[in-house]
Amino acid sequence: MTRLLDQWLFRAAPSSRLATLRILCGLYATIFLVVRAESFWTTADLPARQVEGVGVLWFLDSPLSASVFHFAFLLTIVLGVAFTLGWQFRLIGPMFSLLFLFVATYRLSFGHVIHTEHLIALHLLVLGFTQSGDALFLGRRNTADATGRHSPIYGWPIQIMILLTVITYVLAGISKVQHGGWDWLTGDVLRNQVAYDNLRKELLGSQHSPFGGWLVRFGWLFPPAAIATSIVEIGAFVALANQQRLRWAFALSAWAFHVGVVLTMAISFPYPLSFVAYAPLFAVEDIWSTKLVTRLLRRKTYL
Amino acid sequence: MEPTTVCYVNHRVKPYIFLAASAILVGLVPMINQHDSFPLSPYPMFSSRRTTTESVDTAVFVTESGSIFRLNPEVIAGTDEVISAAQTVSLSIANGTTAQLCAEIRGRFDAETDGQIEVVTEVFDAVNWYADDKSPISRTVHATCQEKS
Repeated sequence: MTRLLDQWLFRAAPSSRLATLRILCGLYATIFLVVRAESFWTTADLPARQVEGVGVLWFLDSPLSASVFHFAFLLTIVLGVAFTLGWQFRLIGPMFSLLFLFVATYRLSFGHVIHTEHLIALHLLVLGFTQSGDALFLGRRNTADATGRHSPIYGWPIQIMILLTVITYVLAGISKVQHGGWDWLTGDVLRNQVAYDNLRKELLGSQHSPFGGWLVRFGWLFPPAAIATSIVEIGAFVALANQQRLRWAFALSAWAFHVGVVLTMAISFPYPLSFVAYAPLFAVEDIWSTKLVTRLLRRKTYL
Repeated sequence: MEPTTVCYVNHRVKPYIFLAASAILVGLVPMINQHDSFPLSPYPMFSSRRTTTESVDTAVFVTESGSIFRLNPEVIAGTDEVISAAQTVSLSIANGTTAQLCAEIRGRFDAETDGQIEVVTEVFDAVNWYADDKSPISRTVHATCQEKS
């Protein structure tokens, strides 16, 4: 058992693969913070009676000073840029991943947890506390030796990121069957969910999906959609196998599932939709040798 | 600590700490205690056993002539997250603070005509709504506050 676990966990990978994941996840998180800046910023102005601490802020029962939170938020964006560039990574890596966790936790500590930042926060914690700054970093020119190093110390963090991705999907799949029961698999729960979600958005004056509302009229569509959803989520464990076909099958079907959620309920999970969430499954370091990237980096390269 | 010991900790113990934390904290604990938090969660989204008849807690603007205008999440709860806005209204109903919420909404709303803000619970058949039957099954007003244009 231990030998099998060792074989799975200590899979060797090039340092550039882990570093590329750092760049992709760091870039995604920083852009996410900038795009959602208004939502983060206005969190500081929400009424004190709404405070309901979650996660690492479980003890919170009154809001933080707005200026303290605004400072932490701005600092997170600045550190996000440094994290992406791999600058002073031993210090910046842990700092950014913990600060991202803090600002995201605080935003969700006002009455309701939404699930768009869970996986990226977990991935950043893995990247921030491991050797993802050993290659492709700003500061001094990377030697070919540092970039090309191939070792299990660069492989196991990737395996952990894959495991975390798989866990989130499997848990979501189990929750649906656990709470929705047989009615989930027959499609009734899903149809009612699509109808309710769009109706609630209409009643709350928010953007909804007219397409999803129209689809609700066709009850026969929902049983196959519900079964396909369960297969994708509970079947996510196939991505743990080191087989590219299975990994592509999982990544593409999970991505298609998220596209379906956007189309039918106007709910966006940007991390998987950007495909960055599935990047640990693949040899992402190859993007640096694509024509477009090499052309862009021709003048001043850190590769 | 000897360099070889440091090396052993980094190369063997640290990966297993991450592995155990992922499997137990991120996987097993949320599955058992079913507590939705951040970043640990059983991911219960879309899993509630919904029926066709569902209630929605919201706030609306009703003109003097009786027309109903839907307010957006920013006006209702100062957020652009629709789920958070819905939760804000539900919590204020549960806590008996709807009058306070109504006053806060009035502070965020700029009416073009006279009327009143209502914090309400509306019950609809969600599937029938999309078959063009948009009449509510029931409507409960929890708080009202006057709004002048």
